[in-house]
Formats: sequence, structure tokens, C-alpha cells
Amino acid sequence: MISTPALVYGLTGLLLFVVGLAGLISCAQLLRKILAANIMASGVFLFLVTIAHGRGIVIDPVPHAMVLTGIVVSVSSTAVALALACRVQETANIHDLRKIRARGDER
Amino acid sequence: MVGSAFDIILCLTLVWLAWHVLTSPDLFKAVVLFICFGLLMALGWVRLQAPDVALAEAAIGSGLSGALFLSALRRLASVRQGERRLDRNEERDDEGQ
Amino acid sequence: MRGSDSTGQSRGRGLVSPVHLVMLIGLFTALSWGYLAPGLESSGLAHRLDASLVDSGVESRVTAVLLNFRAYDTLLECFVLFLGVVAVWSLRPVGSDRHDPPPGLILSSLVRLLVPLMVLVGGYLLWAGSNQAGGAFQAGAIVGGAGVLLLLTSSPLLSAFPKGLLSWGICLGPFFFLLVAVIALGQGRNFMEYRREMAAMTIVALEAVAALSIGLSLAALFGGRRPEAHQEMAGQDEPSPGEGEER
Repeated sequence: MISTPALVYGLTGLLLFVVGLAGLISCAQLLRKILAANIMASGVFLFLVTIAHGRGIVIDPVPHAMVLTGIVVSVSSTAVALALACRVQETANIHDLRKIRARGDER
Repeated sequence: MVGSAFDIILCLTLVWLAWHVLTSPDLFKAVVLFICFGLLMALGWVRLQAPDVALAEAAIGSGLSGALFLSALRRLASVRQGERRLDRNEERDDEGQ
Repeated sequence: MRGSDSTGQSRGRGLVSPVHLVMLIGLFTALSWGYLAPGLESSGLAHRLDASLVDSGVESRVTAVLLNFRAYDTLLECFVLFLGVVAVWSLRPVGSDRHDPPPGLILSSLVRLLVPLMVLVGGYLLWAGSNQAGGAFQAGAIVGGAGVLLLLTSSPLLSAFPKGLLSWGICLGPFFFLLVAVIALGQGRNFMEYRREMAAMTIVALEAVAALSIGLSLAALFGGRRPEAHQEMAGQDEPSPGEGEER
């Protein structure tokens, strides 16, 4: 049915997606949330490429091209997210910052 | 057989790294682990016969994202330094992360 | 794999609450069931792609998909990158915030040595993209990496680069793409459909422009703020060798 690499990498992709989702909903620090979103994206990419590899004899290059585009898009969205996160830290007042950090240190 | 064992070890390492990116208390360590994660991911792309994606991941996904995260980390640290200057009289021993 | 998930999450110093944990395990089970269940077999688009590869103008299948069959993906991706730069630049005032001490002799000479090499590798990847792994994204990434290296060491090469060209270089990629697409539309073909005998040339030109623009955009994203035109060392862009190589 499904070859061994397709099985292993496909399940890993799904697992990375779920782990990233867990981090995204439960980490308090903004930077950590962005890292988690990146891990989720990696899981999705891994799953897409595995589908291209696992089904059929010929490797399907269309998912490869989509993943390539996705990597560039994810890096630009990461950059925007990081700029926003830094902006939040810079403009929030001391009280808010202390609250954010207190929540972050609990983790 | 060797290939399958390699695949399984690589995947376990990837999941372990992802987990530690999210749980390590030190943000700097998390970012460095994320860079390692990207590099190992590039190895996975090669195993899946996607060399184009491997090149892009190694250069963009790992290198440039890592640099972005590190510079953001530094910016955030400088914000905290400023904060420390503002209320210096208060006790703080957990600064600088 | 599932075991490592649940044990990892349960011992992870309470990263997720039990309710979330159950939901996430359920999500993973559902997803993997959907993946492993029979009946989802499909042959993909590989055969149709191979049949029309000769028309695309390049030999690499991924490049053919990226710049011919699904070129609008790349067009939109260039615009996403462009918007990313616009968003990042609009979040901080114009200027420069790097007051690092100048790098030592070893670092500055290493950068001096590495940057032309990186630009050369970028050019090679661009050229190799027509028949093997490589292409505009990878070349752009390497050029962007060279820019990041220059920014990190606040290299004096940066001040030699005219700041006005940075914005133009970033805009060039997406709008050149759009121009090619609209010209095709104006000549009675489909959006982004190249003339068959011109396809190879068009793809090479598009790739070169896109690689340059992607590299500049990535370096600008790293720089984080728009450089001031008059200030020394305020730049976040490529050295002039990058331009010469890619064009």
C-alpha cells in the first residue's frame, strides 16, 4: 500500500503539525508562538512532499513547487510576525510587559 | 533496511527537536534548536528525493529564519534592558533572556 | 510515533492542559487515519506534466511547474514577499539601529571573500535550475544570505550601494512578473502563457529578475527598517557585485 518512507515521514509531518499546534495554543511568549507556527508549517510541507513521493512510481513535482513557494511565503510571514512581536514589546507599557513576562515565565 | 532505520531515527530526532523548541525554558536555546530542526528537515527532503526543496529549506527555512529569530531576540533583549533602566530600584534577577 | 507524542506531552511540564491533550491526540489520530485509510490513491499530475514538459522551455520539472504551468503561484509569492517588506518597513521609522563595533580584520576579510563567492553560487544555482535542482528561490536565498552577512558585519561595502536602488530592486520582481503576464494577456493568450518559442528566454529572464528581487527582499526583511538615503552605513541591501552577477 504505502511504502515505509512515506509512512514514516507522513506520520512525522502530521505529528509535527499537532506538536506545533500544541505550542501555538499554549505558549505564552510571542516568539515561541511564532516558532510553533513555523513547526506547524514544516509539518505541512513534510506531509505534502511525502504525498508527492509515496503515491505512484513517478514523483509528482507539483507539491514540490508548492512547498518551495510555501517556504518563501512562510519566511516572509515570519519576518512580519517578528516585527509585530517586537513592536508589541516596545510599545506596551511596563505594566503590560511585566504581565506578559510573568505569563511567559510560568511555562 | 539501513535507509528505513535512518528515516525512523531522523523522524524521531525531528519530533524531539520540535518538542524541545517549544518547551526549553531558554528562548535562545529554542531558536538554536529550531535552526538545527531546519537543517535536519533539509536532510529529510533529500531522503524524499526533493533536492530543490532541500536547498531552499537549508538556505531560507533554516538560515534566514534563524537569523531573523536571532535578531528579533536581540531586539527583545534590548527592550528588556530599557525596561530595567526604567525601574532599576526594583529587584530583578531573572533578566536578560 | 503516537506514543512519543502522548508521553512527551504528559511529561512536558504542563505545556498543554489535559483537555487540549485529548483534543490534540484525537486530531492526530483523525489525521493519520485519513492519511492511512485506503481509497485515497491518486496518480498525481506527474504524467500530464511529463507529457507537456517539452512545451515548457526548461528541462527541470519543478522549474517548469514554478515558472510556466503554475507561474501565477510564483507571481503571487513575489507579491507576498513585497508586501512583507512593506509591512516590516512600515512598523519602524526610517534609519539604522546598528551601533556595533567594526568587525575585526579576520571577519571583515572573510566576508569580503565570502560575499562574491555567495553571489557566484547564486548565479550558478540560477543557471542550474533549468535542468537540475536549483532556480530562482534558491539563488535568491543565497543572495539574501550574502546581504544578511553584510548587514551583520555592517560592512563598508553597504555604503557603496545606492540606497535608492533598493526599493526599485524590490519592486522590480513582482512588477516585472505582472508586466509579462499582462503582455501575454494583451496578445490574446492566457494570463502568464508564454509564446512557445520564447518560453525558455522568458523563463530565464523572469528567474534572474525574481532571484535578484527575492534576495534584496530577504535582506531587507532581515534589516528590519528602511535605510536612510543620506546616512552612512544605514543600508540593508546588496553590494553592487550582486547586481552585476544577476542581471
